[in-house]
Amino acid sequence: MPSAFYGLQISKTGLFASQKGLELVSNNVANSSTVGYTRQRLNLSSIPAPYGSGMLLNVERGMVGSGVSIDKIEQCRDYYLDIQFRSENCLLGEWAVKSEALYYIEDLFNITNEAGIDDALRKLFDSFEELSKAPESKEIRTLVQQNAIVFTDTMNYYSSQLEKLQNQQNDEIAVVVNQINSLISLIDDYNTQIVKYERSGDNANELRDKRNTALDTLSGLIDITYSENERGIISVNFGKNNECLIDANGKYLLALSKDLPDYYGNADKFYSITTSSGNIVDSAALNSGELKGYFDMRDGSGDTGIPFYMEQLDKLARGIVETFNLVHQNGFSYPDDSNGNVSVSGINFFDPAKITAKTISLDDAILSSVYNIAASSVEIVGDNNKGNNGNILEILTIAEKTDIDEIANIEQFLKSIVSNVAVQTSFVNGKLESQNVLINNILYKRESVSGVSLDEEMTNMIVFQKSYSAAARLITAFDEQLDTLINRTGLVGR
Amino acid sequence: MRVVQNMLTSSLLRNLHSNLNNLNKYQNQLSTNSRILRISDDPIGAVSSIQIKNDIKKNEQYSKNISDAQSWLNETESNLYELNNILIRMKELANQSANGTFTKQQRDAIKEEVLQMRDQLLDIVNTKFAGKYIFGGYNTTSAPFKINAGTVSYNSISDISAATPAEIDYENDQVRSFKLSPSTSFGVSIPGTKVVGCGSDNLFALFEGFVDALDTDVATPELVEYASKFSKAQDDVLSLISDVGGRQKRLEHINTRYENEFINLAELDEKTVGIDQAEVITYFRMAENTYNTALQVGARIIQRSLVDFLS
Repeated sequence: MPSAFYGLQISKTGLFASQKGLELVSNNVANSSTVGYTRQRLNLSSIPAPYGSGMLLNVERGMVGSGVSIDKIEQCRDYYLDIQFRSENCLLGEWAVKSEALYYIEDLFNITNEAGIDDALRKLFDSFEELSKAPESKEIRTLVQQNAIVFTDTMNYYSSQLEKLQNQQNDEIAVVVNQINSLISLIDDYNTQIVKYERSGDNANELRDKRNTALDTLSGLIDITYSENERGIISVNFGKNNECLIDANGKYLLALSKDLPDYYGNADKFYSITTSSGNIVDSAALNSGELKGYFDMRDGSGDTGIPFYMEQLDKLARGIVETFNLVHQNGFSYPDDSNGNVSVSGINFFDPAKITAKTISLDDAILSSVYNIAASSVEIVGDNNKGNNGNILEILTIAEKTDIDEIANIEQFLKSIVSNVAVQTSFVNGKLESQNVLINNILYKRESVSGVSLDEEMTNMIVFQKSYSAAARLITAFDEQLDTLINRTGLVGR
Repeated sequence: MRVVQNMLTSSLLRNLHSNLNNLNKYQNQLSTNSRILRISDDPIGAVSSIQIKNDIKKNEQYSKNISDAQSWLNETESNLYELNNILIRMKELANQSANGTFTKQQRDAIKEEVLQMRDQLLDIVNTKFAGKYIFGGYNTTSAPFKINAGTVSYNSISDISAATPAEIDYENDQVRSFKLSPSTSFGVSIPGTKVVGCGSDNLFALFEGFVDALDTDVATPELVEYASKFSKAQDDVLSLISDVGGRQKRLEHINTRYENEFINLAELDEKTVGIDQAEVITYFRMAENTYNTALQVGARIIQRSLVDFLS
């Protein structure tokens, strides 16, 4: 036979459970748009009837259960979706980085760009065409000189833009590594806190949310694999060699040092990364992630990286300098006061020592006097041959040459650079787009499982509210019952 | 599938974003009349568009060269016609003077005219066009023909009457040429020695000889001979004129070809990067509608939940 207060005890558990339920609803609603929040659920179970011992044993049949117990506040989370998201997010990070860098390169080489290399080169050839019609004209010689300067300036500009972009990628590597390190420290901290919290048997839901958010962010930066042990500690590894970033013993930060040479061989310009065990982290050691994206753009000499385009421009510069000079040297200058009144051959058009896109410039002879542009194919004596345009006609054939070292034909080579940029950008953008769709689908599914539904919470609110009222009503009922028993029982004969 | 409010809002945002992207794309296509805004939109189209634009620009430059060449040849032609008229007059004078009844006075008048004609001949072969001597070969900066004490020099040849054909050939090679296509250089000038001739039969010598003949009152047959010499010289000039005419015809022909090519290239460019206005406007309208609808739907769904219906 249970105590007379048994019913009150049962109702009390009901009150508490409903109250907890309402609190949980309000927590869910309050966090309905918190990033990384996982909706929580109250796990209730009924408490079995007191399992009688001694005197009470089998005294009575039909024992009622002893109410409801709050077992756990649980997160609704699909861990498989987490794994999926993090492995895809990594690829998204890589493509996003590459797409952004290629966007700038594409801008440089875009056909709507009216100040491009091909335009500058065409204008140079056009002014040579004009000079072929008036080799004795100072104005047109000056036009050739000026257009040649525009061309070399354009090459210099392109090269410096690419160099700037490359340096930017280098800076980004440092930023990403610092980000990775701070995320590692954060996750390691959460590990410690979660273990402490969960020792008591509770779930550290909010801390887990934070740790999951940190893992999500980390997964975009570097390709990670992770596992959780029975105490709740997550260990994280990365890269192809599965190097450890966090384990039960603590964290292993990445070290950053500026000790690599840049594209032009200047020492200590580019960052290198080493793990705590001393292994080098570079593009080859990574599967994907923003870090790999930046590495590939900074170092990739395949057709994605910035160095590839810098090399192409250098080849172009070298080819143009050498070919123009070879032809120009055959011609003779025009005697004028500004060049000492001599008609000589062997003059360079471009400075032969400056054969990269970064340095290409006109030869000092051409810069100091436009009459040093060698238009004539023979020495100019007196007034004879002042109108000779033989060498200009030779220079004009350079545009049609198809056997220039490494670049074959200038125009075709420029076109192949543009086509390379276009194809590469289009490929990366396509990848990025499909990766975005994939990620969005996963996020959608994740939201579907973990997101707070206001309708659901409101329904729960009504349920808990009603069950609270009902439990309270029952307490009144038991109270009345006891009142009957205590105050109005045994009054016969009074 | 369990659907929560945040899914609605985030997908609404995503859709609005992609709708705006579409609107932006069509708007840019319409306002630039170009299908390819970035080369990655269509790598193949972009590269062929570069080729076409290059071809168009080359075409423009060669057309300019052609019109310059035409001006040179037109100037050359009109000068040669003038020379032709002089020679016709000379022939007349030679025939007149062969008339045995001419007095010394009349001969002197003829001689005077001949001397004037010779100066005119010098003017013609020393013609300047756009600041350049057109009959000087590669010498365009100073008068190619000079008369010094009766001796006529041409550029570096001090006496054309005594010039050997080898020397003249060297001068003859000096034909200024313009580039009219990647592979053709087109001669636009005629060296003065071709006009005047060389050796003892050059025009200046002919004029000089005629004057001498008039002076010395030689026998009539010799004066008649001069008439036939001038007639022959006129034939030479006429053949030069027809040579120039031939070149002008060729220029016209090449020019027509470039004009046609230009039209073809412009058409090809239009096909490669141009847009079909009707099509893009339709797409634009569709994108606009979708965007508006998405906005309206969004405004209605975002805040609707059970909260709104609980009292």
